[in-house]
Amino acid sequence: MSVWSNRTNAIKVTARRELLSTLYGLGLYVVLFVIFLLTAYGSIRVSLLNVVNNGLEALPNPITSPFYLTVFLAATYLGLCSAIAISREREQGTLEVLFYGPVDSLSYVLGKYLQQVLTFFVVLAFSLVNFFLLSQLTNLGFSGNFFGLLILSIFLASCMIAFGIFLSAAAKRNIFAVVLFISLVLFFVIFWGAHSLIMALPGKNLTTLLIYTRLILDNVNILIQWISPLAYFVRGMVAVSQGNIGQYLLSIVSSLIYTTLLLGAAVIIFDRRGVKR
Amino acid sequence: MKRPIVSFLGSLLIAVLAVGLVWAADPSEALTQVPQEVKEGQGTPKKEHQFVWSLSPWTGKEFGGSFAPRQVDTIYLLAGETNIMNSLRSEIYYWDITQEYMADWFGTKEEVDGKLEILKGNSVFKTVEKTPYVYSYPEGYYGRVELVTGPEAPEAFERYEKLQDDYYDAVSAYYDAQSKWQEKMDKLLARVRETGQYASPEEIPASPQQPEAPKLYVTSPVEAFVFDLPEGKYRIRLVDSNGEVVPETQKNLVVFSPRRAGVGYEIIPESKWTKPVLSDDRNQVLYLEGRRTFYLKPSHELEYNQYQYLKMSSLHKPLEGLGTRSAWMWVHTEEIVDAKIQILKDGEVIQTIERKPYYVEQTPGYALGYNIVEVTPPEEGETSEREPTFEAFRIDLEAKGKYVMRLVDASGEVIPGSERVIRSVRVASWPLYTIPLIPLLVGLAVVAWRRSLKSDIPEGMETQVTTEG
Amino acid sequence: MIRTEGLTKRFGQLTAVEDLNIHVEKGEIYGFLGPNGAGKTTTAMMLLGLLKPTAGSVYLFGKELTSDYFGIKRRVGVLSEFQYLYEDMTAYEYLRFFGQLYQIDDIDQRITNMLGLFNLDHRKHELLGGYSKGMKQKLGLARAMLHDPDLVILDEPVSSLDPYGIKEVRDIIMDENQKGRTFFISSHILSEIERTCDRIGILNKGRLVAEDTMSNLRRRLTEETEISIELENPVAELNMTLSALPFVIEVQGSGPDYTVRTKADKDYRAEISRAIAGAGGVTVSMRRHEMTLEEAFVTITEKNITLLTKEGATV
Repeated sequence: MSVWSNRTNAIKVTARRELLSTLYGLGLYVVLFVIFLLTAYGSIRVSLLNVVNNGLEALPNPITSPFYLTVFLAATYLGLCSAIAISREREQGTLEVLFYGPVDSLSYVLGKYLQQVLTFFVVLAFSLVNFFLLSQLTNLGFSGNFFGLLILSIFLASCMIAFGIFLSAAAKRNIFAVVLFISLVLFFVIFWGAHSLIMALPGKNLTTLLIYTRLILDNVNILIQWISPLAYFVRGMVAVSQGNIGQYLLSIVSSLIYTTLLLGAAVIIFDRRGVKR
Repeated sequence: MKRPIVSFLGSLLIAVLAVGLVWAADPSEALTQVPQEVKEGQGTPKKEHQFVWSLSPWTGKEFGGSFAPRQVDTIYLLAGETNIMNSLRSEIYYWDITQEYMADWFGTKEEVDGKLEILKGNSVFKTVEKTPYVYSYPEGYYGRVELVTGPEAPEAFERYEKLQDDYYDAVSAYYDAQSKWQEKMDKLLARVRETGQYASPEEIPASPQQPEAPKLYVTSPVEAFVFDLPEGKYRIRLVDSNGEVVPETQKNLVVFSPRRAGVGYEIIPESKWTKPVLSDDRNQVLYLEGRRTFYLKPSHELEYNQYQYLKMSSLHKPLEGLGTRSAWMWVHTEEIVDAKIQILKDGEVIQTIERKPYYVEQTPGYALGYNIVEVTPPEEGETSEREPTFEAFRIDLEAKGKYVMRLVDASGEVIPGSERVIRSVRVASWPLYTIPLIPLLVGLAVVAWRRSLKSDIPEGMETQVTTEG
Repeated sequence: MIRTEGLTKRFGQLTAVEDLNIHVEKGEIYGFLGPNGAGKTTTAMMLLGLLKPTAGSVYLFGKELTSDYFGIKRRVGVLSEFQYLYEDMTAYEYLRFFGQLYQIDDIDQRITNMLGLFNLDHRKHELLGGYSKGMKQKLGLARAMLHDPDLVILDEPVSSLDPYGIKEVRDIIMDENQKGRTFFISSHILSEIERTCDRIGILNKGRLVAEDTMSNLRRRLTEETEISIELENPVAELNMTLSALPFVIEVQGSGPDYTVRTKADKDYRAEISRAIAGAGGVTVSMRRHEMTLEEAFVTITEKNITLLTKEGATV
C-alpha cells in the first residue's frame, strides 16, 4: 500500500471520527443557535425597523449581511476549535495513542483540517435553512450574488481553520492556544472595523488627526490584509459585490495559498514538537 | 512553544511600536506629497515665486480647479476626457489655517511660454501647444458647460458679447418704451380723474414687454494646454522655444479610469423629502413597508479610486485624500432626464413614469407639514406661478411582493445599471426568534440519543458485571 | 524484531537513555525492567518513532521506521501505561475507528472477537466515559491487538487489573505468543514478568545493565544457592558427610531438616541426594531456592551492577 493511500485513509478516518464527535456534542448546535439569534435580532430586525421607520430604505444585502456575520462567527468558532484541537488531544493523551498507528503529522493535520471544513458544510446547511426561512418570513430576499458568497465562505472558513490549526500545533497548552487565537482575531476584527470606518469618512475636510490616523491604518492594512484570515473573505466579498469574476477567483486562489502555507507550517512545527504531553 | 509565540508577539509589538514611533517622531515621513511647510506649520506665510501647473480637470460633471506647486510631484487626470492645464508663475505660499497652498494670482500671474511634452516611458507620447478656450454655458451659469477650443473659442465669446449687447440695447429700448407708455397712462388717468369717464379698452396702450435675458454665458478666452490621454502613467514637462526643459516643470502624471459605471438614484421619500436616500450600487434593493410614494432622480455614475479622484481637484491641498488609496467612491456625473421609469411585476410592466417638476408647498397655519405637488406647465404666453423645487420621477407603490424598476431611454432600451429590485417587507416579531431554535432542537435530540446508549447487559446481571476490571 | 544500536536520548543536560543496544527476537516475550526514571518509556517512545533519538538507530522488522513508516506501524500494536480514550465513543465505535485506521478486512468480526476475548462484549455500546479503569485497560489491549500485529509493545499491561483480569491478560499473552506474536513488555509487576517473559532487559539510569533469560540472570548474579532438605529420619553425622562434598559451602541444620549452601554454577541436588542415600538417609523433599526476579532486580540495580560486566555479560 502506497504512502499516500495510507495517508488518505488516515485523513479520512480521523476526519470522520472528529466530525462525528462534533456532531454528537451539543457545542456546535448551541453556537449556531446563538449566532442565528444574534443575526436575527441584531441585523435583520434592525433592517426591518429602518424600513418601517423611514417607509423606504435602500439596503445592499439585508440577508447576505447577516449571512456574512454568521459565516464569520461560525468560521471563528471553528477556528477556535481548531486552535484547541491539537493541543487538547496532546494534553488528553489521545494524540499519542493515534500515533501508535499508521498516522503521521501530515495526515493528522490534514485530517483535522478536513474535519473542520466538513463541519463548516454542516454549518452552511443549517444557515441555508435558517436564512431561507427568514427570507420567506420577512420577504427580504436573497441578492443575486448570494451563491457566490456561499462558495466564497468555504474559503474564509478554510483560512480561519488553517489559522487555528497553526496556532494549535505551535501551542504547548490549550489555554495558550485559546488566548492567542482570541487575541489575534479580536485584533484583526477591531483593525478591520476601524479601517472600514475611517475609510468611509469623506475624503475632504477632515481634522489632521483623522487624516494621519487614516494614513497609518491604510499603510498597516497593506501588511494585515495578507496575515489576517478575515481579510481574505473581505477581498472576496468586495469582488462579489462588484461582480468582478477575476478578483473573485483571485481571492479564492489566495485563500488556498494562505491555507496551504499555514497547514504546511503547522506540520513542520508539529513534527518538531512531537506528540508527547 | 513559548519562544516562537513570544517571538511572534514581540515582533508584532515591535512593528506597531515602530510605526507609532515613526509617526510620533516625524509623521511626514509616513506621508506622501506632504512638504516641509505642512510639517512645521507657519506663522506668517512665506511667499515663494514659483512655477505652477494650473489645472482645470474634467471631474465627470464639471471642470474643477487646482494647481500643482513645486512641492507636489504627481498630477491626476481622468482618462479619455478633455483636461486643461496652463503654465504659470506666481507667488505661492502655504496657508496653515485652511491647510492648503495659495497663489497670489492678483499680485503675480505670469504666463510661461512653451510646449507641453507628455512622455510615456522614455519617449515623447504627445506634444501639446497652447490653444484658446472658453467655457460655454448654454442654459446659464448653473447649467451644463461646454468646452469650446481653438478659433471657435473667441468666436463663441464674441457671439456671447453681441447677445449681451443686444440685450442691453433691448433693455434700453424697453425702458424708453416703458417711459413713454407711463406718460400716456398718466395722461389717461388724469383725464379719467377729471372727467369721471372711463377710458375704452382701445384707448389703453399695451405695456411694453420686458426683454428676456439671454441664458447663454461664455467665459473670456484663455490660452492653455487642452488635451486628453488614455489611461496610464506619464511624465510631463514644459519645453521652451529652444527645446530646453523649463526648470521645475517636470511632474508625474497619473491618468486613471473609472472602475465601474452605472446609474445611481437619489430617492426622495414623500414623508421625509429633506432626507433623500442614495442608491449607487445596483446590488442594493429598495425596501418598502406599506403604501409608499417616493421621487427618483437618476444620474449616470462612475466609480473612481477615492484618492486619485480627490487629488485631481485638490493638488494644492496636501492633506486631502490621504489614506484613501484603498477606498472607492461613486460620482454622479449627469442627471438622466430624457428617460422613463418602468415598474415591472412578474416580468410585466405595470407602470411607466415620466419625469415631472414638483413643488414643495408648506402647509399654512400653525401645523407643520408640507405637500409635494406637481407643477403644471404654464399656458402659452403666461409665466408659471411657481418655480419647481425639483424635477423627478414619482413612484407610488403598494408594498406587495417584489417589483423591478428600470430606466428606459427614448428608444425603449433599458439603460444599463439602472435596474433595482423593490421589495415589500413583512415585519415579523416573535417568529424571527423561533427559527434560530432549529439547530438547538436538532442538537438536543442528538445528545439525548447518545445519552440513551446503554450496555446490552440483561436485567439483573448489572451488579455481577460491574465488578469486572 | 526489535534491534537498537547505540540508542541515545538527551534532554538538554539530562541523558535519559545512553548507548542502548537491545535485541528482541521474533516470537519471544521480552520483559523490559527498570526503576522509575530509568528511561523505559523514553526507549519505548523512540522505538515507536514518537521521540527522535539524539543518537543511534532503531530497527523494527529489520528496517528503520523512516524507510517504511506506515508499513511498520501497521505491524505494531501498542498499549501505553495510561489509557487515553475518546470518552464520547462507545467501545464498538472506538475499536471500529482503529480498525478503519489499520484498514482491517474483516473488521466487524475482529471487533466481536476482541471484545469477546476481553469480556467486554456486553458493554460495547456504552460510552467509554462510563468504563472502569480495568475495563479501559482491557479495551486498550484489545485495540493494540485488533489489527493482528506481529509485534506488541505493552507498558504496564496489568497495572489496573484485579487478579482475575491479570490472569486473563497473561493467558492471552501466552496464547498469542504461541501463535507467533512477539511481545515487548515493560512492567513493574515483577512476578508477572518472571512468569511470562522469555528474556529480560534491565535498564538503570539510562543504561542497559542486564539482558538475558531469567535463569541466566539468576545464575550470573549469585555465586551460591541454597537447597532445603527434609529427611524421613535423622542421619548421624550427615553434616560432616555433606560438608565434605567439594561443591558444598555450608551445611546447617539437624534432625530431619537441613539447609545446604552450594556453588551456583550448576544444580547439585542429584549429588546431594546420592550422598544422603550413601549415609543411610531417605530424602523426603529437596528444594532448590531460586532468586526471584525481584531479588535479582534489586541486586542488579542497587548492588551488583558491576558483577554482570565482570562475568562477561553481553552489556
